Amino acid sequence: MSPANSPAVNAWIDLIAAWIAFLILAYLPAVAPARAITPATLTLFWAFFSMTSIVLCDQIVLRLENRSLLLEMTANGKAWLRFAAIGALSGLLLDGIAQWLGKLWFYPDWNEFFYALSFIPGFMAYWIVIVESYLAVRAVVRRFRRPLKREPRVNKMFFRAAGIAGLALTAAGIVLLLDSYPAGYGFETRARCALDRPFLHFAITAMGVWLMLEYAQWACGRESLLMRLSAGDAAPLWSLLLASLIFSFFWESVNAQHHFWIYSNWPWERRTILGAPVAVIAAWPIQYLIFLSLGFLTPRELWR
Amino acid sequence: MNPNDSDLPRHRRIWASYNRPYSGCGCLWTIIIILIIWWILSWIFGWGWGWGWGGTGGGVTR
Repeated sequence: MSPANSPAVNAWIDLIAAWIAFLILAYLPAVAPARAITPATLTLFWAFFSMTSIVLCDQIVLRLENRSLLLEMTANGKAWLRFAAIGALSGLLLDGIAQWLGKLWFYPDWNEFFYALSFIPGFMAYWIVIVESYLAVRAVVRRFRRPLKREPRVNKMFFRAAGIAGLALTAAGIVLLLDSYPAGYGFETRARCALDRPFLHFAITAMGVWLMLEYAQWACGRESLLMRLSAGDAAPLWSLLLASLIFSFFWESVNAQHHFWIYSNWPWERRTILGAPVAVIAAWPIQYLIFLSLGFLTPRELWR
Repeated sequence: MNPNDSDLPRHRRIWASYNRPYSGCGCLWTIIIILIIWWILSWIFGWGWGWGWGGTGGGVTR
């Protein structure tokens, strides 16, 4: 059998063809007539976009490492429940801090009912798409660089201090965010709401949440990003940054067509790349850091 | 469930035919694809998708 006909090569050709087709279809709304763009069709399109991203990233990992996070997270009823809990927690940690408190973006097309209805399934999809994109990039990175087997140096005091510092930063960040409202806090997901420098306060809160999650991972006997770095293994960090760079450009350029979500209150808001503020692209790794740190709630070791 | 394990001809080896590990998610994805095809056909035949979902539109021109 010639190499061109081997099943492995054919499987890769299929996957590459699927990715190329997806990259073209992702920009479909740009050529849609104005009457075809409604909140319902945009919701449908984003369901297609996120699900296809999940499946195609999962297929890369499946072919390179012969395992699938999507299958593990949906293996049975208990796994689905865990997946839903992680989705809800991801939503609370991302939208809860950045949107409910920070008003860093809003969803112009949905009222509170549809926002609430889509919250858990939406963040289940978003959590897994972020994690799958990291795993896919890491699987590719590992083809060129073997993972280090060295054990991390775990310092009990360090992780306890990180937990306490994280708690303090989170509390301080939330107080500062609530203090940014000129006329008292208001819940608003559909319209722009001007706040005083919420990004800085969001960054403080997110840093606090990440440090608390570092503590939680250590306390549960799981590996964390800082543990891998202490073992001299920078591959998870580089994979995270690379996945963030690639997928931030992809997601933001697709959203720039019809603005399913709109950014507000970001620093240097007029400096944009692909329709998104530069600061948004720069801040994308924050969500990877938090979502991947939630991996300790799954049976899968995401950092190793 | 081995994506490389197949002697099927190419037309059978597209992902949905020869390697379908995602039962529930795959079914949902197929439904979404059918709706996307319907959406694209609606551009041509002018079928309505006009219902709004209660948003403000955010001042975005569509």
